[in-house]
Amino acid sequence: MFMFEKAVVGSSKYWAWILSLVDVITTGFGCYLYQLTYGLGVTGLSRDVS
Amino acid sequence: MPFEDAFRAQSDPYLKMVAEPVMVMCNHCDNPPCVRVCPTQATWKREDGIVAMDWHRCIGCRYCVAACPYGSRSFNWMDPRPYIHNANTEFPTRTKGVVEKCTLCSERLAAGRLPACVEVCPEKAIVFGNLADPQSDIRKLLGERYHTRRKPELGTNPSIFYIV
Amino acid sequence: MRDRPLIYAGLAVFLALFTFPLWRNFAAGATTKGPGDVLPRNAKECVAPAAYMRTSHMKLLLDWRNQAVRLNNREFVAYNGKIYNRSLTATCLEQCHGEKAQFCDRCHNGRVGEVLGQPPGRKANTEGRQMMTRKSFLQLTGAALVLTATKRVVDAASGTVHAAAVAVRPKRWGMAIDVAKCARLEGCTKCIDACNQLHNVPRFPIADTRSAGSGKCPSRMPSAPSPIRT
Repeated sequence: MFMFEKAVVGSSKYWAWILSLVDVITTGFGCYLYQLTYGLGVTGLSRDVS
Repeated sequence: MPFEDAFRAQSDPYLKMVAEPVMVMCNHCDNPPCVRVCPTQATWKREDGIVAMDWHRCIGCRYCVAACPYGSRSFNWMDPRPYIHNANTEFPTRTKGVVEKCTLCSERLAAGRLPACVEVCPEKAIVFGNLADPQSDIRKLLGERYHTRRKPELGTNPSIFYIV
Repeated sequence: MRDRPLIYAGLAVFLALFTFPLWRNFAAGATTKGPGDVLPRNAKECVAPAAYMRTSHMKLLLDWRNQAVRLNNREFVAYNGKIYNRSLTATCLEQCHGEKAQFCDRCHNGRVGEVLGQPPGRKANTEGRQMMTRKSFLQLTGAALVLTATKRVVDAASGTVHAAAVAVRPKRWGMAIDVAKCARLEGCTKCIDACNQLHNVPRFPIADTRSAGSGKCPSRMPSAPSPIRT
């Protein structure tokens, strides 16, 4: 019950780390959306290596 | 595709057309490996020997691309529609993420016409017909001339014959 | 518990999201009735009884599609003995019901969840609506059997079925390519071009055919040469 409150307090270093993780997550999600709209062509695969 | 590439295991140093190009296409195998591996039965062998394909059912797993020993299937890595020039409104376009293949012009066969490649060839180099009928032109031709098929050692039993 | 308001607020948001489809249909004024039928003017009968069509036309269409596309079996013997071509375009639309926009799209407007032919807001009741009852199935099959049997007898009597026709084996299409003749047409790609044009084969700017070798086969559909040498 009180775990979440511990997660929202921290030093600026802690927040910088959290932000960088969130950045990784959003980048990954954005790439996923791009692949979803464009097609598997974004992977650069071809018939020989797929 | 050069002859010697299309017929790798059967290269013959005395055959004249080693460097000549040949037309290669889906062989419409009697024992098609692509049909065997398809997890959704999106591709199947019709009673008349055509290996047909349902683009609505294809999930784009590309198993058939890997299974086909002739490289006769291709995958739509991106939406093909912007790259179609002078679209034919009589035939459906396909979406991204599905596999495509030769249909042996089954829609023309249903209307009693020959496949487009047969009709358009200026030398009449392609003969099309019913293999089950001993009186058909193709059976007569195959009876007279020496012919081979691509990769016969695989046991796929193709319906496309090459007269060499 | 000092988090009580937070928890209740969260639950409320969850419930609101969860029931969103219901709210949206309610707000859009969708009814369980659907837009209602448009009956064709010049035709009095359908390929199946009206009650069956009302509940199960999508099942019939799915069956038609499988029969026509996969089994190449286009002849449909209707409940009243008439023979129809299994085709939505050639039979349903062209012979009776007119435009697809009027006949199909008013209910099946392409929204998610309506693939099986449920008008907006209608609850899924697969048992009753999609499936034929056993009785009607038996009636239909029985009728079809009797009719096929009578057709056979009539055919046999009128001599349309003769020994030669019975002996015909199913077609087995094949193709023979004369390599020497083909080679005479140096650089000719007419077969490939015709095929690609006819079947809407795209031309991607980055060639899918790096490995095409002679450059004879820029196509994707009839051929797609693999550089893997086997």
